[in-house]
Amino acid sequence: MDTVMNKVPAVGRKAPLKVRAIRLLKYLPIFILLLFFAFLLMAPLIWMCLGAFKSDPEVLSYPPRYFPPANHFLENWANVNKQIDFMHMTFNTIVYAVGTTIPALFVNALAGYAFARFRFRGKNVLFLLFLATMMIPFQVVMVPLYLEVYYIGWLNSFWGLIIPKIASAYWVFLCRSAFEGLPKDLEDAARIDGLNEFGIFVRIMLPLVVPTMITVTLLSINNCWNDLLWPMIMASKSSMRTLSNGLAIFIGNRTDNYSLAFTAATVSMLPMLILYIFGQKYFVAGQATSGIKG
Amino acid sequence: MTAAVKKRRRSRSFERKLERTAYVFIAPAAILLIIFCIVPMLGSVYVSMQKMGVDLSKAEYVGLDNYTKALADRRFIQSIGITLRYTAIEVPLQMVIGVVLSALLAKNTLINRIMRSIYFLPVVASAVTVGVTWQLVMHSNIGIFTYWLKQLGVTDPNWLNNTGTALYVVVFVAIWKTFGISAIILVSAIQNVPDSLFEAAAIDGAGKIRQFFSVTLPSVMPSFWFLLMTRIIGSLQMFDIVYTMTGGGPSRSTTTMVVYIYDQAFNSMNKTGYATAMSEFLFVFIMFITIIMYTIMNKTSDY
Repeated sequence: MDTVMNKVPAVGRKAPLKVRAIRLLKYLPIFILLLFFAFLLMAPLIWMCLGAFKSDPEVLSYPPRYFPPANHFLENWANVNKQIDFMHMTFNTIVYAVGTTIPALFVNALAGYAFARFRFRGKNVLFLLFLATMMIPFQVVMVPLYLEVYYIGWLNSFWGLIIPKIASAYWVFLCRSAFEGLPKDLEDAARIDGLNEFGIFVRIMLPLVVPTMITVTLLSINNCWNDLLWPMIMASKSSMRTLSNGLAIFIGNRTDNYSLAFTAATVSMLPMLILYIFGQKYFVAGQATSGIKG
Repeated sequence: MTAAVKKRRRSRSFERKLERTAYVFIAPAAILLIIFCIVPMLGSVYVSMQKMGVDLSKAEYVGLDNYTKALADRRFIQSIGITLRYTAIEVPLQMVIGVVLSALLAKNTLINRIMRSIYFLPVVASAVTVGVTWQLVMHSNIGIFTYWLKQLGVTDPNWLNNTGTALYVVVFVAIWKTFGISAIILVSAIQNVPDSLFEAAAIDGAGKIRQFFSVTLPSVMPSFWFLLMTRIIGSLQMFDIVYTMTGGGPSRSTTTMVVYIYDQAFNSMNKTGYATAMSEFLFVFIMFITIIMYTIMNKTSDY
């Protein structure tokens, strides 16, 4: 009896000090393991950030120096800007990310809403069609897509970068499952009040799935910001480069300018870091739902 | 005409109106997907049968030559071997680490919440940032990990420039970057397991480890299979981390299928048709695995 009582989690009652101490001691190896993994994950990133403040000789010193003795960040930053048009690349990345995300929200939410709330002929076929597009690896369509964009005349333009990336079956599914959970009475009440279908969608339904919309927004911005393959194919002209492919080329060319590589990489990651710090729960929600629904 | 018939008519016309609205709502996404996903997919079959660069008017129809050429291309076969080896190492490691850590992190304590957000951090970093950072972290002269490993007695084999070690470093970095996703998916699956199951197991005398194998693991199987499938597919498509860290080198030892396909399509003359033919092989691989995994998933969720 006694042993059973110990194993059932005690609710609203603090265990005696001795039991808690034993529990803590048992937890210690787990905690150390977790800490070790956290360290493994953070060390390279912290080292990169610290590297942005070091001068080149300091980066090269052996044994490695952990903390920069003096702040060389502004110097490095000025040098980065001398060698590449960092601000212009940032601008391109922002246009790509925002330009894709805003129409993507609208287009995919609308489709997800229709799949969730309407009955219509061909629904299953259409749904399968959407499902099928998720299974097509981008690498298979990349050459024909490139040719298509080339013949439309969108090569090295924001149109070519953005338009093919707007619709995504993944976002449609995310929106669909959010809309499915809403009560039916809402639409009926709105219809009786004389609101048209689009009005119901925008004024009644959309405000109820704001968390999902934030998730889609953050994940979509993050995807575009980090996207390498498509900008590399689409925007070969230097004035169209985004941060990802611009930096890949910059670092590929100059592997000996380490402090500049650190600086450019750190600064380019900063916006995503801020986005993550403030929107962590939405990033996680996006990943979590994809796993459960699958 | 009775009132009932009238009402039914009105409701039928109302249904029809709703149907039209649904089509209108789906149209933008459907049209974009057709133009930029389905048409290129169908087009890829056509392109794969041409010998061409980017100019379609100079394309020359070669039938299935590109496919037979690919099967005889030693570099392509080598890239398939590398991709399979990469997948065979990355996926099991990733799954084991993901399962163990998610079991340890599932409770919503403060420490676990902090750990989870740290583990997820590399997921939001770009592959380029990650590639550059790790290139320098494992660098022979300045790399901090190389230095620490030396302190621990591991002599530096020139990690990224050694054909024997480069692929393993890439695998390690890929796991480092993405296992936050695995952990998060499994953590939320574990959190969805009703507490009563654990309580019942505890009353039956099952210890923590027994609970993990008898309650936790079977309950999260659907998420586990889903994760396994996406990890395998993701590994077969490995590109950006390899590309930024090693560029496929040294001496092609990390040239995965997609790196080779990209290289053939955009860095070689008149080979876009050939590259597309190779990508069809990738497509078949992925379809094959998706079908197998779906069959397994349907079987396991039957009981």
